[in-house]
Amino acid sequence: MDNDLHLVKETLKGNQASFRVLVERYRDYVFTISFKILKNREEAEEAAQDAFLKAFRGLAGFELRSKFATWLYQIAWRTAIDRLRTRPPKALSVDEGSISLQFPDGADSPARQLHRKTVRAFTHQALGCLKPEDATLLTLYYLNEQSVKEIAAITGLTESNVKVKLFRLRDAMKNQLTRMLKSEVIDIANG
Amino acid sequence: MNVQKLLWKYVEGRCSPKERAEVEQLTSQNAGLQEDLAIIREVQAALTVMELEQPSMRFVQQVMEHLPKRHFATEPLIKPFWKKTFWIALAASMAAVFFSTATRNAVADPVGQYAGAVLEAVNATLETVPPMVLQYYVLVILAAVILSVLDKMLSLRTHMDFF
Repeated sequence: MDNDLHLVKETLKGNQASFRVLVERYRDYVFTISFKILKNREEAEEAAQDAFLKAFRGLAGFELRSKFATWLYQIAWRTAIDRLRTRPPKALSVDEGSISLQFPDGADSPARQLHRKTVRAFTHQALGCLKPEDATLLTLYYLNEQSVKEIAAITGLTESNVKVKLFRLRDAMKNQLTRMLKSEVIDIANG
Repeated sequence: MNVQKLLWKYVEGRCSPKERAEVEQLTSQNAGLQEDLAIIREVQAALTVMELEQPSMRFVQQVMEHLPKRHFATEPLIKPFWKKTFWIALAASMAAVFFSTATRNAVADPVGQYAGAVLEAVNATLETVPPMVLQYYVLVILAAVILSVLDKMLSLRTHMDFF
């Protein structure tokens, strides 16, 4: 947004109210990125706050020709990833080599889910079971409507890597759904 | 292109008319691909309507409370454009001085007739510049270097609570 640049300039002049507008505008996006990575509301909130504080401190280094949102999401991504790395490792679900979704222990069996949940709800659940970075890639792609180029800038991956990951992730979700919802798929295909 | 990739492209509406016709033909002939397309549509629809997560009501307030109490201007002293220009000019002038000195001391011209002529011209120009101007020039460069370093240090230390 062009207006972002105006707010950035105002902040640089010492107008903190302008920075408040930026925080209000991007809090949900920054929090969502942090939450997708950390999967814990309290931690995500702290990480999101950190991201905004880092952005404020680093505003002098922001190139006004760039897109503020991309720059901010990059900070949010790195802050959350750094926090994630300091945590003890958890069981992750999607691996680039052999992508498959694995649900945490104690989750309902696919058969029961099949009868209880809609496809949409299941997809969201599947998204929650992805590796944090992968879930965030999909979030950036769909929710924040970032282009592949911008996602590459935010995550530090190459554009082709982002494309490959997006395809593999979505395809893994599709394959999992195909297996789990076989009977419903046939109904859908038949209209 | 991989058929599955093509199906995703189709669902996202990024296919060319030729690709679209290809997908429609493939799916009409293959029940398996029809199923794939249906499920891809479902996944796509579900992903498209993802909702943003919302932080607590006090989030904005908390961020603002954590900002430094005293705000120091964070705008760079020197704009990036002028910084780049300065470094390019500095590099060019240093190269000119270097080649000028090198050619004065060279026993033989190692860089060819044309380059030699250019260097002679540079030498001749430098010799016409009064020494006082060169001294000022060096002082300006030194001042600019000091300012750049100071600017960098200030940008790293901005927003600190000094008082």
